[in-house]
Amino acid sequence: MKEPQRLLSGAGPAQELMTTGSVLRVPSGARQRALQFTGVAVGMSATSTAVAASASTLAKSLVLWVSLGAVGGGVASLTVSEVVSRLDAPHAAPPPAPAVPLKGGPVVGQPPAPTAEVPAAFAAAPALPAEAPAVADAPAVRAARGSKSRPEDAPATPPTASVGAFAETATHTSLLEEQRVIETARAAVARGDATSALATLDGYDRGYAKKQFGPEALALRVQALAAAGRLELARSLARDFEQRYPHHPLLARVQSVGH
Amino acid sequence: MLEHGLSLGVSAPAASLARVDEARLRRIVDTHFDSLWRFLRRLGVAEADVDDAIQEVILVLARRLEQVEPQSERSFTFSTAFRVASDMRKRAKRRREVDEAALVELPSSLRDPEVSAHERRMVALFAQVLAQLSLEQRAVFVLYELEEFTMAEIASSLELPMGTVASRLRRGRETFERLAAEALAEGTRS
Repeated sequence: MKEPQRLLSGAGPAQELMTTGSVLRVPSGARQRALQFTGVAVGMSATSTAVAASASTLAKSLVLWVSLGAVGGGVASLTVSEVVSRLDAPHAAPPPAPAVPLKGGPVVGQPPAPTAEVPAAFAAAPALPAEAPAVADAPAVRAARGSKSRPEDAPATPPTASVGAFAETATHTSLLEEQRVIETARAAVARGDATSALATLDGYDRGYAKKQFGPEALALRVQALAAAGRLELARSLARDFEQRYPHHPLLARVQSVGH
Repeated sequence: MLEHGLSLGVSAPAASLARVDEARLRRIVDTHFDSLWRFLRRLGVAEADVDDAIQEVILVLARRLEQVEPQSERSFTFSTAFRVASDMRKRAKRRREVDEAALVELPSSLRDPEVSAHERRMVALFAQVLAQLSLEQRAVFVLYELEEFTMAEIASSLELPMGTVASRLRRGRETFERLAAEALAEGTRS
């Protein structure tokens, strides 16, 4: 099929109008914002949809807390307080746990450290990973593992000698770190600081390859975007949430955003 | 709708949770950014919403990147952009929030005092004339006349038969030429 000559190459009113009138300058900074968002998009797209499948009872408790917290303003914070206090129990012999560093350097959107807005239960929790809890002894985790992993049945080998225990500790360290980031974002949303919430969520999406709070992060992003007046994107992500997590307890909350 | 049922240039479906190639995603966005930004604006996305529209496009790209063949990156990107712009417009209309004036919103760059009155007037006229084209005609017109896509590339990007591309382009050009002549004649008389 022969292609017609483009109007700009011709002559006449159309060419005259297009030559001057079609100038459209891209605002400075727009490209950088888009490029920065690619990292967030990669993080969001890598979110596991199988949170429940990969989560322990501990993780489920935390997910439940975050779910309720996001909806009801921390109604169930006692649940997680209990979990954390159990993790911090003095009888737990803390094995050295490796840091689970955030990917990348100090970029925009790096999750900020927990601040004063973080509920007391978390502010009081030890800094991770230096004082990572000995999850091997935590009742919640014990229950999740079944009787075989109960301390009294466990071999006398120190946790540091066990690759499995090491990996598991690292997993739970990451879980608590993630939970803190999500809590920071939730606190920002609650106080109406959408910018801070989005920066925290950007950091979360960039920083954690296996996001165990992926649905909660997405739900908070929807809320934060709506609070920032970015309704189109909020609604679009709300629909995305519906498709990806059709049975999630936060669904109704997410669906109500922007309506 | 974020997960589009795109077919062209997309290999066998795969619901992968694997880490997306961020470097490739960045390269695609970087390469096509200016064109993508202008395309969305010319489809009627308000300047304040273009960032969000581009983020939607990037999210779709990230999710489908492994299925997009290298030679189809541009087509896939613009196909997604067209759907995003189209969806935004539909949603705005459904909520009766659409302000047709926003579709011909003038670029903020025109506030620059360096811009001449003549240029401002021509940009305003161009936007008004372009807004008279249907979204479908406008997409083909903009991609062909301003972004210099070939008709085959447009067919691939908008998932249209070549005949449809040709007819939309012909009608779009006819409308644009007629309205441009009228607008400029009106300007000369006034």
